[in-house]
Amino acid sequence: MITETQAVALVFLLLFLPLMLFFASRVRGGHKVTLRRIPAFEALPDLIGRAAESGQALHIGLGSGGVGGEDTASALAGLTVLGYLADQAAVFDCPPVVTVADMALLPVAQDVLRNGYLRQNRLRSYRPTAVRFLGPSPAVYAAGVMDVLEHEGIIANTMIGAMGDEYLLAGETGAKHGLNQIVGTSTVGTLPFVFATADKALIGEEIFAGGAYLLRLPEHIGCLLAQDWMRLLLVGFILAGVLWQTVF
Amino acid sequence: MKRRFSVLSSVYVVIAGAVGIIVLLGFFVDVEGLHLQDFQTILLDWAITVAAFAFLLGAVNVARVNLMRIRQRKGGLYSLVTLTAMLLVLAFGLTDGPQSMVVQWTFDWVLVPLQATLFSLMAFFVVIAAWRVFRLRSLKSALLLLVGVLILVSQVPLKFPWAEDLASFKNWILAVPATAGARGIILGVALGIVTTGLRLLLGIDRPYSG
Repeated sequence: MITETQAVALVFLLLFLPLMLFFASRVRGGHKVTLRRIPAFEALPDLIGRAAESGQALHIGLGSGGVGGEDTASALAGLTVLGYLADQAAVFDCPPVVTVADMALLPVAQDVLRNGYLRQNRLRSYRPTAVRFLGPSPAVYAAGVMDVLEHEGIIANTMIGAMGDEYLLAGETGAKHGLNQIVGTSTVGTLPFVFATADKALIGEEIFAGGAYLLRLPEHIGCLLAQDWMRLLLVGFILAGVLWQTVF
Repeated sequence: MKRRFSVLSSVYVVIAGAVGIIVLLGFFVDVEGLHLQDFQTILLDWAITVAAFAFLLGAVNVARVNLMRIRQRKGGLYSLVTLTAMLLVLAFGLTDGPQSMVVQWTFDWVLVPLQATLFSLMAFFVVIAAWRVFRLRSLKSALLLLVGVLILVSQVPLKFPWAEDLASFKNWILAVPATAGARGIILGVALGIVTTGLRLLLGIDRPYSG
Protein backbone atom coordinates (compact mmCIF):
# COMPACT_ATOMS: atom_id res chain seq x y z
CA MET A 1 0.00 0.00 0.00
CA ILE A 2 1.35 3.42 -0.94
CA THR A 3 1.38 6.07 1.79
CA GLU A 4 0.31 9.71 1.42
CA THR A 5 3.94 10.98 1.46
CA GLN A 6 4.95 8.42 -1.16
CA ALA A 7 1.97 9.39 -3.35
CA VAL A 8 2.84 13.11 -3.15
CA ALA A 9 6.51 12.40 -3.96
CA LEU A 10 5.49 10.15 -6.88
CA VAL A 11 3.11 12.77 -8.36
CA PHE A 12 5.85 15.39 -7.94
CA LEU A 13 8.37 13.21 -9.79
CA LEU A 14 5.90 12.29 -12.53
CA LEU A 15 5.23 15.99 -13.13
CA PHE A 16 8.87 16.98 -12.95
CA LEU A 17 10.34 14.38 -15.29
CA PRO A 18 8.32 15.16 -18.47
CA LEU A 19 8.71 18.90 -17.85
CA MET A 20 12.47 18.45 -17.62
CA LEU A 21 12.65 16.35 -20.78
CA PHE A 22 10.35 18.75 -22.67
CA PHE A 23 12.42 21.83 -21.84
CA ALA A 24 15.71 20.01 -22.46
CA SER A 25 14.54 18.99 -25.94
CA ARG A 26 13.34 22.57 -26.65
CA VAL A 27 16.72 24.02 -25.68
CA ARG A 28 18.50 21.32 -27.70
CA GLY A 29 16.26 22.25 -30.64
CA GLY A 30 17.61 25.80 -30.59
CA HIS A 31 15.16 27.62 -28.29
CA LYS A 32 17.01 30.64 -26.89
CA VAL A 33 16.92 31.06 -23.14
CA THR A 34 18.10 34.14 -21.26
CA LEU A 35 19.44 33.22 -17.86
CA ARG A 36 19.48 35.80 -15.09
CA ARG A 37 22.93 36.98 -14.02
CA ILE A 38 24.69 35.09 -11.25
CA PRO A 39 27.85 37.12 -10.49
CA ALA A 40 29.59 34.18 -8.82
CA PHE A 41 29.49 32.09 -12.00
CA GLU A 42 30.60 35.09 -14.07
CA ALA A 43 33.60 35.59 -11.80
CA LEU A 44 34.78 31.95 -11.80
CA PRO A 45 36.72 32.08 -15.12
CA ASP A 46 38.60 35.17 -13.85
CA LEU A 47 39.90 33.19 -10.88
CA ILE A 48 41.62 30.67 -13.14
CA GLY A 49 43.01 33.49 -15.29
CA ARG A 50 44.39 35.20 -12.21
CA ALA A 51 45.90 31.93 -10.97
CA ALA A 52 47.55 31.38 -14.36
CA GLU A 53 48.98 34.92 -14.43
CA SER A 54 50.35 34.77 -10.90
CA GLY A 55 51.58 31.18 -11.05
CA GLN A 56 49.75 30.49 -7.80
CA ALA A 57 47.15 27.81 -7.21
CA LEU A 58 43.38 27.98 -6.92
CA HIS A 59 41.78 26.13 -4.02
CA ILE A 60 38.60 24.21 -4.86
CA GLY A 61 36.84 22.86 -1.78
CA LEU A 62 33.98 20.41 -2.14
CA GLY A 63 32.72 21.00 1.39
CA SER A 64 32.37 18.67 4.33
CA GLY A 65 29.67 16.56 2.70
CA GLY A 66 30.13 13.50 0.56
CA VAL A 67 28.49 11.04 -1.78
CA GLY A 68 26.08 8.42 -0.52
CA GLY A 69 24.46 10.56 2.16
CA GLU A 70 22.02 13.45 2.30
CA ASP A 71 24.65 15.84 0.92
CA THR A 72 25.18 13.88 -2.30
CA ALA A 73 23.43 16.47 -4.51
CA SER A 74 25.53 19.32 -3.09
CA ALA A 75 28.70 17.28 -3.62
CA LEU A 76 27.64 16.62 -7.22
CA ALA A 77 27.07 20.37 -7.71
CA GLY A 78 30.63 20.96 -6.50
CA LEU A 79 31.88 18.27 -8.90
CA THR A 80 30.18 20.02 -11.84
CA VAL A 81 32.06 23.23 -11.05
CA LEU A 82 35.25 21.19 -10.53
CA GLY A 83 34.76 19.66 -14.00
CA TYR A 84 34.63 23.13 -15.54
CA LEU A 85 37.61 24.42 -13.57
CA ALA A 86 39.59 21.23 -14.36
CA ASP A 87 39.33 22.02 -18.08
CA GLN A 88 40.44 25.60 -17.50
CA ALA A 89 43.28 24.53 -15.20
CA ALA A 90 44.53 22.08 -17.82
CA VAL A 91 44.37 24.71 -20.57
CA PHE A 92 46.26 27.33 -18.54
CA ASP A 93 48.52 24.74 -16.88
CA CYS A 94 47.83 25.92 -13.33
CA PRO A 95 47.08 22.86 -11.18
CA PRO A 96 44.46 23.56 -8.50
CA VAL A 97 44.40 22.22 -4.95
CA VAL A 98 41.16 20.30 -4.49
CA THR A 99 40.06 19.31 -0.99
CA VAL A 100 37.41 16.82 0.14
CA ALA A 101 36.14 15.58 3.49
CA ASP A 102 34.66 12.31 2.30
CA MET A 103 36.68 9.31 1.30
CA ALA A 104 34.12 8.13 -1.26
CA LEU A 105 34.21 11.58 -2.86
CA LEU A 106 38.01 11.45 -3.17
CA PRO A 107 38.26 9.04 -6.14
CA VAL A 108 35.31 10.76 -7.85
CA ALA A 109 36.96 14.19 -7.55
CA GLN A 110 40.27 12.73 -8.77
CA ASP A 111 38.44 11.24 -11.73
CA VAL A 112 36.69 14.53 -12.59
CA LEU A 113 39.98 16.44 -12.41
CA ARG A 114 41.78 13.78 -14.45
CA ASN A 115 39.06 13.88 -17.13
CA GLY A 116 39.57 17.64 -17.46
CA TYR A 117 43.27 17.09 -18.20
CA LEU A 118 42.41 14.19 -20.50
CA ARG A 119 39.94 16.30 -22.53
CA GLN A 120 42.63 18.95 -23.05
CA ASN A 121 45.31 16.32 -23.92
CA ARG A 122 47.39 17.36 -20.89
CA LEU A 123 47.21 14.11 -18.96
CA ARG A 124 50.95 14.29 -18.25
CA SER A 125 50.39 17.39 -16.10
CA TYR A 126 47.74 15.69 -13.96
CA ARG A 127 48.78 14.83 -10.38
CA PRO A 128 46.46 12.66 -8.25
CA THR A 129 47.79 14.44 -5.13
CA ALA A 130 46.16 17.66 -6.39
CA VAL A 131 43.02 16.22 -4.76
CA ARG A 132 43.44 15.89 -1.01
CA PHE A 133 41.40 14.11 1.59
CA LEU A 134 41.71 16.30 4.68
CA GLY A 135 39.64 14.44 7.24
CA PRO A 136 36.20 12.95 7.71
CA SER A 137 34.89 15.34 10.37
CA PRO A 138 33.83 18.95 9.64
CA ALA A 139 36.28 20.44 12.18
CA VAL A 140 39.22 18.49 10.78
CA TYR A 141 38.25 19.47 7.23
CA ALA A 142 38.03 23.15 8.20
CA ALA A 143 41.43 22.98 9.93
CA GLY A 144 42.90 21.36 6.81
CA VAL A 145 41.45 24.05 4.53
CA MET A 146 42.81 26.76 6.85
CA ASP A 147 46.26 25.21 6.49
CA VAL A 148 45.97 24.99 2.70
CA LEU A 149 44.83 28.62 2.41
CA GLU A 150 47.61 29.85 4.72
CA HIS A 151 50.60 27.85 3.51
CA GLU A 152 50.06 26.60 -0.04
CA GLY A 153 50.43 29.89 -1.91
CA ILE A 154 46.76 30.03 -2.84
CA ILE A 155 45.54 33.05 -4.80
CA ALA A 156 41.78 32.37 -4.77
CA ASN A 157 39.36 30.16 -2.93
CA THR A 158 36.29 28.41 -4.32
CA MET A 159 34.16 26.26 -2.07
CA ILE A 160 30.96 24.67 -3.32
CA GLY A 161 29.08 21.92 -1.49
CA ALA A 162 27.53 21.14 1.85
CA MET A 163 29.12 23.07 4.70
CA GLY A 164 28.24 23.65 8.31
CA ASP A 165 29.32 26.34 10.75
CA GLU A 166 32.92 25.17 10.37
CA TYR A 167 32.98 27.00 7.02
CA LEU A 168 33.54 30.25 8.92
CA LEU A 169 36.99 29.05 10.04
CA ALA A 170 38.07 28.52 6.44
CA GLY A 171 36.20 31.50 4.99
CA GLU A 172 37.56 33.92 7.54
CA THR A 173 41.12 32.65 6.93
CA GLY A 174 40.64 33.33 3.22
CA ALA A 175 39.21 36.80 3.91
CA LYS A 176 42.10 37.58 6.31
CA HIS A 177 44.60 36.79 3.55
CA GLY A 178 42.66 38.89 1.01
CA LEU A 179 41.89 35.91 -1.22
CA ASN A 180 39.19 36.20 -3.85
CA GLN A 181 36.49 33.90 -2.57
CA ILE A 182 33.55 32.37 -4.41
CA VAL A 183 31.50 30.21 -2.09
CA GLY A 184 28.21 28.40 -2.48
CA THR A 185 26.28 26.14 -0.17
CA SER A 186 22.82 24.69 0.14
CA THR A 187 22.98 24.79 3.95
CA VAL A 188 20.76 27.68 5.04
CA GLY A 189 22.46 28.13 8.43
CA THR A 190 25.87 28.64 6.81
CA LEU A 191 24.74 31.32 4.35
CA PRO A 192 25.25 34.27 6.78
CA PHE A 193 28.88 33.19 7.21
CA VAL A 194 29.25 32.92 3.44
CA PHE A 195 27.89 36.45 2.97
CA ALA A 196 30.26 37.74 5.62
CA THR A 197 33.42 36.25 4.15
CA ALA A 198 33.01 35.61 0.42
CA ASP A 199 33.28 38.13 -2.41
CA LYS A 200 30.63 36.30 -4.42
CA ALA A 201 28.08 33.91 -2.96
CA LEU A 202 25.96 31.17 -4.49
CA ILE A 203 22.75 30.98 -2.49
CA GLY A 204 21.04 27.63 -1.97
CA GLU A 205 19.79 26.20 -5.25
CA GLU A 206 22.17 28.39 -7.31
CA ILE A 207 24.91 25.85 -6.67
CA PHE A 208 22.98 23.33 -8.77
CA ALA A 209 22.96 25.69 -11.79
CA GLY A 210 26.68 25.32 -12.58
CA GLY A 211 26.07 23.04 -15.56
CA ALA A 212 23.69 25.56 -17.14
CA TYR A 213 25.78 28.67 -16.51
CA LEU A 214 29.35 27.38 -16.91
CA LEU A 215 28.98 24.51 -19.35
CA ARG A 216 25.82 25.71 -21.18
CA LEU A 217 24.54 22.15 -21.31
CA PRO A 218 21.02 22.12 -22.86
CA GLU A 219 19.83 19.45 -20.41
CA HIS A 220 20.90 21.58 -17.47
CA ILE A 221 19.24 24.70 -18.92
CA GLY A 222 16.10 22.62 -19.47
CA CYS A 223 16.27 21.53 -15.82
CA LEU A 224 16.41 25.16 -14.72
CA LEU A 225 13.27 25.95 -16.74
CA ALA A 226 11.50 22.91 -15.31
CA GLN A 227 12.54 23.99 -11.81
CA ASP A 228 11.02 27.44 -12.42
CA TRP A 229 7.72 25.94 -13.53
CA MET A 230 7.63 23.60 -10.55
CA ARG A 231 8.39 26.54 -8.30
CA LEU A 232 5.44 28.46 -9.76
CA LEU A 233 3.27 25.40 -9.18
CA LEU A 234 4.43 25.21 -5.55
CA VAL A 235 3.76 28.93 -5.05
CA GLY A 236 0.29 28.39 -6.52
CA PHE A 237 -0.35 25.50 -4.09
CA ILE A 238 0.84 27.58 -1.12
CA LEU A 239 -1.40 30.53 -2.11
CA ALA A 240 -4.36 28.18 -2.67
CA GLY A 241 -3.72 26.61 0.76
CA VAL A 242 -3.60 30.03 2.42
CA LEU A 243 -6.85 31.06 0.72
CA TRP A 244 -8.51 27.76 1.67
CA GLN A 245 -7.48 28.10 5.31
CA THR A 246 -8.55 31.77 5.40
CA VAL A 247 -11.94 31.40 3.73
CA PHE A 248 -13.10 27.97 5.01
CA MET B 1 32.94 20.38 -22.43
CA LYS B 2 32.29 17.65 -24.99
CA ARG B 3 31.54 14.16 -23.80
CA ARG B 4 33.33 11.27 -25.46
CA PHE B 5 31.27 8.23 -26.43
CA SER B 6 32.54 4.85 -25.44
CA VAL B 7 30.98 1.44 -24.88
CA LEU B 8 32.32 1.43 -21.34
CA SER B 9 30.64 4.74 -20.52
CA SER B 10 27.31 3.36 -21.81
CA VAL B 11 27.74 0.34 -19.51
CA TYR B 12 28.38 2.68 -16.55
CA VAL B 13 25.26 4.70 -17.39
CA VAL B 14 23.10 1.57 -17.67
CA ILE B 15 24.39 0.16 -14.35
CA ALA B 16 24.05 3.50 -12.51
CA GLY B 17 20.59 4.16 -13.98
CA ALA B 18 19.31 0.63 -13.26
CA VAL B 19 20.57 0.68 -9.67
CA GLY B 20 19.11 4.15 -9.11
CA ILE B 21 15.72 3.20 -10.56
CA ILE B 22 15.53 -0.02 -8.51
CA VAL B 23 16.32 1.89 -5.29
CA LEU B 24 13.82 4.62 -6.21
CA LEU B 25 11.07 2.12 -7.11
CA GLY B 26 11.71 0.33 -3.81
CA PHE B 27 10.71 3.56 -2.10
CA PHE B 28 7.38 3.84 -3.95
CA VAL B 29 6.27 0.30 -4.81
CA ASP B 30 5.79 -2.69 -2.54
CA VAL B 31 4.46 -5.43 -4.81
CA GLU B 32 4.59 -9.03 -3.57
CA GLY B 33 6.82 -11.21 -5.75
CA LEU B 34 8.90 -8.31 -7.05
CA HIS B 35 11.04 -8.12 -3.88
CA LEU B 36 12.14 -4.60 -4.78
CA GLN B 37 12.84 -3.69 -1.21
CA ASP B 38 15.08 -6.74 -0.82
CA PHE B 39 16.99 -5.60 -3.90
CA GLN B 40 17.17 -2.12 -2.43
CA THR B 41 18.66 -3.46 0.82
CA ILE B 42 21.22 -5.60 -1.04
CA LEU B 43 22.31 -2.68 -3.24
CA LEU B 44 22.61 -0.34 -0.25
CA ASP B 45 24.71 -2.99 1.57
CA TRP B 46 26.99 -3.17 -1.46
CA ALA B 47 27.29 0.61 -1.47
CA ILE B 48 28.36 0.54 2.20
CA THR B 49 30.96 -2.16 1.44
CA VAL B 50 32.35 -0.17 -1.50
CA ALA B 51 32.42 2.99 0.64
CA ALA B 52 34.41 1.08 3.29
CA PHE B 53 37.10 0.44 0.70
CA ALA B 54 37.25 4.18 0.12
CA PHE B 55 38.76 4.41 3.64
CA LEU B 56 41.87 2.75 2.23
CA LEU B 57 42.02 5.30 -0.60
CA GLY B 58 41.70 8.10 1.95
CA ALA B 59 44.55 6.74 4.05
CA VAL B 60 46.76 6.29 0.96
CA ASN B 61 45.97 9.86 -0.16
CA VAL B 62 46.85 11.30 3.28
CA ALA B 63 50.14 9.35 3.22
CA ARG B 64 51.03 10.46 -0.34
CA VAL B 65 50.22 14.13 0.23
CA ASN B 66 52.17 14.28 3.50
CA LEU B 67 55.17 12.41 2.07
CA MET B 68 55.16 14.92 -0.81
CA ARG B 69 55.12 17.78 1.69
CA ILE B 70 58.02 16.27 3.62
CA ARG B 71 60.02 15.91 0.39
CA GLN B 72 59.21 19.49 -0.65
CA ARG B 73 59.94 20.78 2.89
CA LYS B 74 56.55 22.50 3.06
CA GLY B 75 55.46 22.16 6.68
CA GLY B 76 57.35 18.89 6.78
CA LEU B 77 57.36 18.67 10.59
CA TYR B 78 53.56 18.80 10.79
CA SER B 79 53.32 16.23 8.03
CA LEU B 80 55.71 13.96 9.93
CA VAL B 81 53.56 14.23 13.06
CA THR B 82 50.40 13.52 10.99
CA LEU B 83 51.93 10.43 9.37
CA THR B 84 53.36 9.09 12.64
CA ALA B 85 50.03 9.59 14.43
CA MET B 86 48.12 7.94 11.58
CA LEU B 87 50.43 4.91 11.47
CA LEU B 88 50.45 4.49 15.27
CA VAL B 89 46.66 4.65 15.57
CA LEU B 90 46.30 2.32 12.57
CA ALA B 91 48.75 -0.18 14.04
CA PHE B 92 47.05 -0.24 17.46
CA GLY B 93 43.61 -0.29 15.85
CA LEU B 94 44.49 -3.26 13.68
CA THR B 95 46.12 -5.26 16.47
CA ASP B 96 43.85 -4.46 19.47
CA GLY B 97 40.69 -3.31 17.68
CA PRO B 98 38.97 0.10 17.84
CA GLN B 99 38.51 -0.27 21.62
CA SER B 100 42.30 -0.32 22.07
CA MET B 101 43.48 1.88 24.94
CA VAL B 102 45.84 3.88 22.70
CA VAL B 103 43.12 4.50 20.11
CA GLN B 104 40.61 5.55 22.77
CA TRP B 105 43.19 7.76 24.53
CA THR B 106 44.08 9.47 21.25
CA PHE B 107 40.42 10.04 20.50
CA ASP B 108 39.47 11.31 23.99
CA TRP B 109 42.57 13.36 24.81
CA VAL B 110 43.84 14.54 21.43
CA LEU B 111 41.11 14.60 18.80
CA VAL B 112 38.14 15.75 20.92
CA PRO B 113 40.01 18.58 22.75
CA LEU B 114 41.55 19.78 19.47
CA GLN B 115 38.14 19.91 17.79
CA ALA B 116 36.67 21.71 20.81
CA THR B 117 39.53 24.23 20.70
CA LEU B 118 38.95 24.85 17.03
CA PHE B 119 35.22 25.40 17.48
CA SER B 120 35.83 27.68 20.46
CA LEU B 121 37.70 29.97 18.07
CA MET B 122 34.43 30.39 16.22
CA ALA B 123 33.29 33.07 18.68
CA PHE B 124 36.18 35.34 17.64
CA PHE B 125 35.67 34.55 13.97
CA VAL B 126 31.96 35.42 14.27
CA VAL B 127 32.82 38.82 15.81
CA ILE B 128 35.30 39.62 13.02
CA ALA B 129 32.81 38.48 10.34
CA ALA B 130 30.04 40.57 11.95
CA TRP B 131 32.32 43.61 12.03
CA ARG B 132 32.91 43.21 8.29
CA VAL B 133 29.23 42.68 7.42
CA PHE B 134 27.93 45.48 9.62
CA ARG B 135 30.08 48.15 7.95
CA LEU B 136 27.82 50.82 6.50
CA ARG B 137 28.29 50.57 2.75
CA SER B 138 24.77 50.68 1.38
CA LEU B 139 21.14 50.97 2.39
CA LYS B 140 20.94 47.18 2.63
CA SER B 141 23.92 46.94 5.01
CA ALA B 142 22.47 49.80 7.08
CA LEU B 143 19.20 47.90 7.37
CA LEU B 144 21.08 44.74 8.32
CA LEU B 145 23.03 46.66 10.96
CA LEU B 146 19.87 48.21 12.40
CA VAL B 147 17.98 44.91 12.61
CA GLY B 148 21.09 43.11 13.94
CA VAL B 149 21.57 45.68 16.71
CA LEU B 150 17.87 45.61 17.66
CA ILE B 151 17.91 41.79 17.84
CA LEU B 152 21.08 41.85 19.96
CA VAL B 153 19.64 44.48 22.32
CA SER B 154 16.42 42.50 22.67
CA GLN B 155 18.45 39.54 24.00
CA VAL B 156 19.92 41.62 26.84
CA PRO B 157 18.20 40.73 30.13
CA LEU B 158 17.91 44.38 31.23
CA LYS B 159 14.62 46.07 32.03
CA PHE B 160 14.11 49.20 29.99
CA PRO B 161 10.93 50.99 28.78
CA TRP B 162 10.57 49.30 25.37
CA ALA B 163 11.88 45.88 26.36
CA GLU B 164 8.58 44.09 25.69
CA ASP B 165 8.01 45.82 22.34
CA LEU B 166 11.53 44.97 21.32
CA ALA B 167 11.05 41.32 22.30
CA SER B 168 7.87 41.18 20.18
CA PHE B 169 9.73 42.79 17.28
CA LYS B 170 12.53 40.20 17.60
CA ASN B 171 10.02 37.34 17.64
CA TRP B 172 8.29 38.75 14.55
CA ILE B 173 11.60 39.17 12.67
CA LEU B 174 12.62 35.58 13.47
CA ALA B 175 9.21 34.04 12.85
CA VAL B 176 8.13 35.91 9.71
CA PRO B 177 10.84 37.44 7.41
CA ALA B 178 13.72 35.20 8.54
CA THR B 179 11.68 31.98 8.43
CA ALA B 180 10.05 32.94 5.12
CA GLY B 181 13.45 33.59 3.54
CA ALA B 182 14.91 30.35 4.90
CA ARG B 183 11.91 28.31 3.70
CA GLY B 184 12.14 29.88 0.25
CA ILE B 185 15.79 28.83 0.03
CA ILE B 186 14.98 25.33 1.33
CA LEU B 187 12.22 24.87 -1.30
CA GLY B 188 14.63 25.98 -4.02
CA VAL B 189 17.32 23.60 -2.74
CA ALA B 190 14.79 20.73 -2.72
CA LEU B 191 13.94 21.43 -6.37
CA GLY B 192 17.65 21.54 -7.21
CA ILE B 193 18.23 18.21 -5.45
CA VAL B 194 15.37 16.57 -7.37
CA THR B 195 16.70 17.75 -10.75
CA THR B 196 20.24 16.66 -9.84
CA GLY B 197 18.94 13.21 -8.89
CA LEU B 198 16.88 12.88 -12.07
CA ARG B 199 19.81 13.96 -14.26
CA LEU B 200 21.93 11.30 -12.57
CA LEU B 201 19.26 8.61 -13.06
CA LEU B 202 18.88 9.50 -16.73
CA GLY B 203 22.64 9.45 -17.30
CA ILE B 204 22.77 13.15 -18.20
CA ASP B 205 25.22 13.79 -15.36
CA ARG B 206 27.98 11.22 -15.05
CA PRO B 207 30.32 11.92 -12.17
CA TYR B 208 32.15 8.71 -13.02
CA SER B 209 34.70 7.89 -15.69
CA GLY B 210 33.73 7.97 -19.34
